[in-house]
Amino acid sequence: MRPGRRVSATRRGTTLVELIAAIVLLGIAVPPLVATLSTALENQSERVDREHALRLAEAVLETVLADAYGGSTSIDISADGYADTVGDRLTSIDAFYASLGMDWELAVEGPFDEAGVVTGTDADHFWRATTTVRYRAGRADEDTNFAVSTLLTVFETINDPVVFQPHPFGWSTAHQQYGVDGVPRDPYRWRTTDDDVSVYSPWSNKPIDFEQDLGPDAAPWSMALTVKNFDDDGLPSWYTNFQVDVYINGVKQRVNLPASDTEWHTVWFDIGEQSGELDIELRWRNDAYRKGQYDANIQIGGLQFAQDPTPPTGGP
Amino acid sequence: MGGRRAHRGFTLIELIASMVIMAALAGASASVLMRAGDAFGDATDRRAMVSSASMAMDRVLHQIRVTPSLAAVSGTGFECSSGLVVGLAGSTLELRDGLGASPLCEGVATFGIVYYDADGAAVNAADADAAGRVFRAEVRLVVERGNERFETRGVATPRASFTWRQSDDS
Repeated sequence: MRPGRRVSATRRGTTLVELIAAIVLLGIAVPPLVATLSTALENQSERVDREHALRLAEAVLETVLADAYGGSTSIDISADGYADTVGDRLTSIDAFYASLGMDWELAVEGPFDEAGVVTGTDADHFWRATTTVRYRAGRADEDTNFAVSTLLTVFETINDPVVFQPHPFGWSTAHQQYGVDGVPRDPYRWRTTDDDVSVYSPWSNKPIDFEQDLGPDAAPWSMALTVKNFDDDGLPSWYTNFQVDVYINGVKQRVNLPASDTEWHTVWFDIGEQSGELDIELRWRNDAYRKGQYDANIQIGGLQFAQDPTPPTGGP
Repeated sequence: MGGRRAHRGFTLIELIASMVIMAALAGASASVLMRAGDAFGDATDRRAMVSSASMAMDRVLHQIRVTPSLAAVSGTGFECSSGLVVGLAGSTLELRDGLGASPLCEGVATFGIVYYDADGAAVNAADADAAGRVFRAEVRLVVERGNERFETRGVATPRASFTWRQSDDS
């Protein structure tokens, strides 16, 4: 440094004290940054937990929806203990999420009215299913409860008859059923053909109900269904049988009926010893459809009962 | 001269002392910071993977829920009556329609679907009429990228199997 020249404070070097002060400041600032990073990672873990919890809750509610509207007479979502049976149908899903430390509960409440008050009155046919998933998130000390609900209704039978044409063995009267599934509320229907000689359905799994009085004396009876396909696109080559579940007073039996686009086929099957009024419900199970190529729509032209059946010829 | 001392620069001793202190601090904090950096990188990758798998699962379940009917089913995919197909192409889960293929998720290690009928019984996807009997589908999706693995499972019920329709389109 030349004599007589002042040293500017901005050009002098850094003192040890300043350096240490800077390091101390860094030492103060870095830990919170690292902690923030750690928190972000923990949040990521919690996000994954929530993803799993939501997926599990959805899985349970989807199963409830399937049970509510699937048409199985062996599953009644309004029955006591129904929630305990859901896990039986979710074994794989249940085991996977249990391995992640998650468990769940299901509550089915109803019937409740429009105000949401549980009345227990059948006329208030709304029900609510709530799934609560419980899990321990990250380093939390307490469980997290994650609940999802959906609205349901239980099927109700109404008397809106569709009448078959008379038949030598006697036709039954068809009743529609309708339900509200929380989404659309339009009644669906099995439809009568234009000539009113048969009913058909473009959708599988939809019930059509009949009543038949077989008289007071118990006896072994047979029942027959006469079917044909109803659609211009026709059946695919591999579609050989209509599969129909026949419920008689709630007891199901599966019937395979030859499927044809042109010919009526009548199949008799044993329904055991019966008497009195029978509640008969039919559900066609195996729909098949590909746009512009084929379309299976079951058409029922006859429903018959006999103690000593002689298969009739032809269709309705 | 006392006044000059306040304005001088580093001495060699001071510089060496500073470097020693800084080296000690850097050594102590480097491993922590590196681990944090690695973890952050992994978390970023995992977040992307979870997000991708989650969106793919949402899309698959949505397609099952809204399809008018299923035209074909298998253990690794399905075809809707509209012609839309969901399935694997290598390790990429794809959605294919008349316009081409759209990737839903990459790095898929496992994609499987098990189908059930209205009574809760398993449907054999190999049966010719299996598609018409599907009432519930359990979907499993496993994605692996690098050292990260994410698995999710979901359930969907085709709404068309119990919603009320007036049209004759199936």
